[in-house]
Amino acid sequence: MKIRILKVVSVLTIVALGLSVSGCSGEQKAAGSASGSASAATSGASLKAEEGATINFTYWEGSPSDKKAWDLVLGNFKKDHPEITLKTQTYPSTTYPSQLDTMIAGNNWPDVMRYTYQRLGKFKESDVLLDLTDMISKESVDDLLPAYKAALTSDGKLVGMPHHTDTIALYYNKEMFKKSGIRIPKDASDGWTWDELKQYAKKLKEDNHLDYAFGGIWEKGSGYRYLPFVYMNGGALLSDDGKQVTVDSPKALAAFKLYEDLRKGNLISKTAFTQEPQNNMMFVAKKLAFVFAGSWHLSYMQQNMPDNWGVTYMPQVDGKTTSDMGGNALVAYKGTKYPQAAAIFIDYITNKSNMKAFCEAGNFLPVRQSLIKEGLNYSSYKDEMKVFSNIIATVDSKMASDETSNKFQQLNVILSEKMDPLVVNGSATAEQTVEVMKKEMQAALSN
Amino acid sequence: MKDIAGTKKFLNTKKKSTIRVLISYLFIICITVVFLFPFYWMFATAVKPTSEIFAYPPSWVPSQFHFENFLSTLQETDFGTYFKNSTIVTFFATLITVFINLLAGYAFAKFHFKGKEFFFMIVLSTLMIPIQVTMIPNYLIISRLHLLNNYIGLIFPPCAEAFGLFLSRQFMSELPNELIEAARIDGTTEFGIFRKIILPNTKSLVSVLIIFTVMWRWNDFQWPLIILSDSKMYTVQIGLSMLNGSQYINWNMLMSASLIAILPVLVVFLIFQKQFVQGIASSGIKG
Amino acid sequence: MSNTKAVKKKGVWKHFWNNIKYVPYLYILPNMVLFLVFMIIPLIMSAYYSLTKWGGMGKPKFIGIQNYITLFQDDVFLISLWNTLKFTLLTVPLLMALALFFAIFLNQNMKLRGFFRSAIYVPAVVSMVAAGMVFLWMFNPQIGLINYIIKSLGGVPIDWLNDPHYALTMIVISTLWSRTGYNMVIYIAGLQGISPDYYEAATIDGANRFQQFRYITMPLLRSSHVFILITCVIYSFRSFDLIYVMTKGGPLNSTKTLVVYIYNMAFEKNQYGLSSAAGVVLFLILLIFTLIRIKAQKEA
Repeated sequence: MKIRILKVVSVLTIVALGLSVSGCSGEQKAAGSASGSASAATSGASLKAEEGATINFTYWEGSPSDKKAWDLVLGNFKKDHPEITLKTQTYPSTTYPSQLDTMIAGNNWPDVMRYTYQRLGKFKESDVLLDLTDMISKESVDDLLPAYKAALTSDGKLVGMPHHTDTIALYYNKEMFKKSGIRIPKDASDGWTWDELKQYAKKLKEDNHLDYAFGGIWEKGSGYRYLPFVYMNGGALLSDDGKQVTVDSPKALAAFKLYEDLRKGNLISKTAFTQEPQNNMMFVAKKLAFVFAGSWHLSYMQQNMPDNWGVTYMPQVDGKTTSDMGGNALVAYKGTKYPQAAAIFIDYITNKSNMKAFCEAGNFLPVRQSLIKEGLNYSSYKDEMKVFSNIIATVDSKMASDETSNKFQQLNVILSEKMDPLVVNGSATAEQTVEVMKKEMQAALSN
Repeated sequence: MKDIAGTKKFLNTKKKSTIRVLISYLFIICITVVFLFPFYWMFATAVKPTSEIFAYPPSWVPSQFHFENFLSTLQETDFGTYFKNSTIVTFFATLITVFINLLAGYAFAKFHFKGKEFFFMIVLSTLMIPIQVTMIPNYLIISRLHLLNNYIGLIFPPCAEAFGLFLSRQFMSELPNELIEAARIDGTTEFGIFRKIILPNTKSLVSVLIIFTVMWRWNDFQWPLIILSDSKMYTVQIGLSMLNGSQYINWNMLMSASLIAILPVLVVFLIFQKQFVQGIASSGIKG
Repeated sequence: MSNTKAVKKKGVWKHFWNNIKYVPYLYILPNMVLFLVFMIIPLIMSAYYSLTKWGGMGKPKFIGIQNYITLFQDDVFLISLWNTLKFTLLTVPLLMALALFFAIFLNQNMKLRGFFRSAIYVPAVVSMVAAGMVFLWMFNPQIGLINYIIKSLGGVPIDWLNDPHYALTMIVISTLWSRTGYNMVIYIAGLQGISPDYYEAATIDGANRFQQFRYITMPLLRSSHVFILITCVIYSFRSFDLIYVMTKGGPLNSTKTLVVYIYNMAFEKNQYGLSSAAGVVLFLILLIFTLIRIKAQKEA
């Protein structure tokens, strides 16, 4: 009996091992042949799709306006490029990263993916992205905002196209601000100082009998959305060469001390950075006087607290202000069977007219300099989008490059997790927090 | 003497009885309200005007009843498709589960065969394997079999669960051996025995298996999430999770969708509930 | 000639199908195939991954038992073990006590008894995802119903979501709502199996209700107790959806059980090797528990 069991188990083990090991060998589809023919084409416009090309495109719909925008541009593509069969796969926005990860672990890569800038690092590091240099029209590449172009460059190669961006602004409760006589900044350089932030938060909390004065959408593991406070103060997460963690420098530490002070005064909500999001909900429930939220929340605010909210500029330190570098890019898998078709697809979606249409339909911000200069014609929330457009111009380029570095997603996870003791119950001081962060982030960098 | 004492006791108990009965009913009604309240709250949140959802103090009764929220949820999402998929999966999964567990339960209960204990150990061990552990490997396996986004991939893998087998074996072991032996002596085929003697006596077991399986497969969220990427194949629970936006929740939609999602299982339960309790009682799971 | 062949073929099949030696193997075959392919092999694959370092992309790198060492040095892992234990110790006795109480209470003859039983059971019908969302909503510290009721009764509202001391309580309460009915039904079945003669004899002997409960009901429900105990413990070790939807294991890891840790390690930190190792540890814990139970039953 025992020997039999041993035999059976060893057979099973061999089978299982065989499956695991073979399942992990990456597809060695040589994209080399593709780049060979691509170099003959000087601009993406003269690319031709492969015979019978089918593109699997994965993305998510983060809101009704997001869905509208995608339906529009994907419809356009199908019309203009009937020679390419487009298969789309949408996932729930909250589980997109884990579902994509599962697909990838199973070696089931889509051809083209939509992904957040901050999460691209691990793909860049593993060199699994299709080299799109010389496959995208020159005009498009040159028109990109430098920070975003840099985000999609790895080892000098263009590995994707930024598609759109969005950012964070200060949403305020009109009634409460009026009641407390709080000043609303008039432009990006007019933002509150940190002292004003503390002062106004205190006043709003007292006048309106609130538990907390404000919060931000850095919950649910999006701790990097708090980083603008670090960078506007002149601090940075990484050194210039990207090899040292500088989250404990005095300038960076100050941003965490700010958070600590706010929490001590019960001015900022205690929702952990790793928790389910609460702050937007508390804002429209009138339990917060203001919230740092994104341009994609406009319709949510209007739906739930109609006509009682406004949008204004981020705080600043000595004239320097910045905000979140949000938005997503389109990247292609290096081992795709149809590299030309993938490039054509990406080029098409990110060309000037489609980018414009997408952003206008979804209330997003473009990443092309020409479009920013011309200004977009939003069908709704025109004034608010103007504020967001002005804010996006202030996105700090060092922050952008740090956030799109290879290890950033791991650094973000550490940041979000280590902030929690400071945020939830002050069981760690700001100094202790940055010390722990530095240690773990440094370890992650050298891994 | 015993009689007088008895009558005295009887009279006393009668008095206590009315108050006691009233209190009992009051108590159980309160408990029932507590248990059923979340359902009411889901309903109230689904039909409330959006602006009232965040009102504080909370409004116990909606000021307006927006029943059209249910309709708009169905229209704005692809719930029709999700329902179809969930129904197909649940139906066939239940069929398969009942069938294979009846067979296997019978085998484990009524036969002696070499390796019986070994096989049963395998069954037992599967109870201890959490899905998070088998998620990625299962994905890999299904992917290699090219069964992703496929009804077969959706239906079969979760059928590997031990609970149904335990129930079935327990139940079958209570069936009298004499009938089986007699039939064998009569020359009935093995399958004939199964068909004519065992099956007719398993009505309550079958109801229990049906209810458990329907409930569990209809509500299954993890497995479809892992293997489905084609939105046309999404089940109801995945559809539900799509209503959670990034950093915001549309409560009207979410609650109305949740209620719609509960409905089929609720109906199955209400229909089968008598047999269900009966089934558990006679399946002998009391031990 | 073909006739004999056909008869032979049919004969062979019949030989298997109706031979008492082979029949049990055939009957358990479907189940065994499923278990093998979708449980055992994945478990072994997982055990393999637990010996590697793998980020999901590229090839896993073999590193031996390093993961296991890392695990037991990881504070969060140890906290998860402790939380799993805490959660089990809190929910299981409460679930059993409540279920037993309601089973006995609703075993008496009262009107609408079936309705009351169904009301307590019906929460089992709701998916954990939906249940989690409703309770998340009701437990909201600032605008949720629960704190509103507490405040109205003059109490101090609790920060259910952000206070590490209370978040687990919130999960326990939600679990009790969801699972009491299911266990209650099993107790009801058990109670129905106790002959009323026992109680009659006891009453004649002068035993009061508490004594009857202690000396008749409890012992005769022994097998129900065991069954429910086992199911509840295994369930609480595997309970994932509710916790994930409501707290994701937070705040400050106060609700992070082992399965949440496993999921988090794989999908949020992309460390499949560590995650698999934790999974193997969980499997071994449950295995030991089951073996102990089997031994205990054998001795009984």
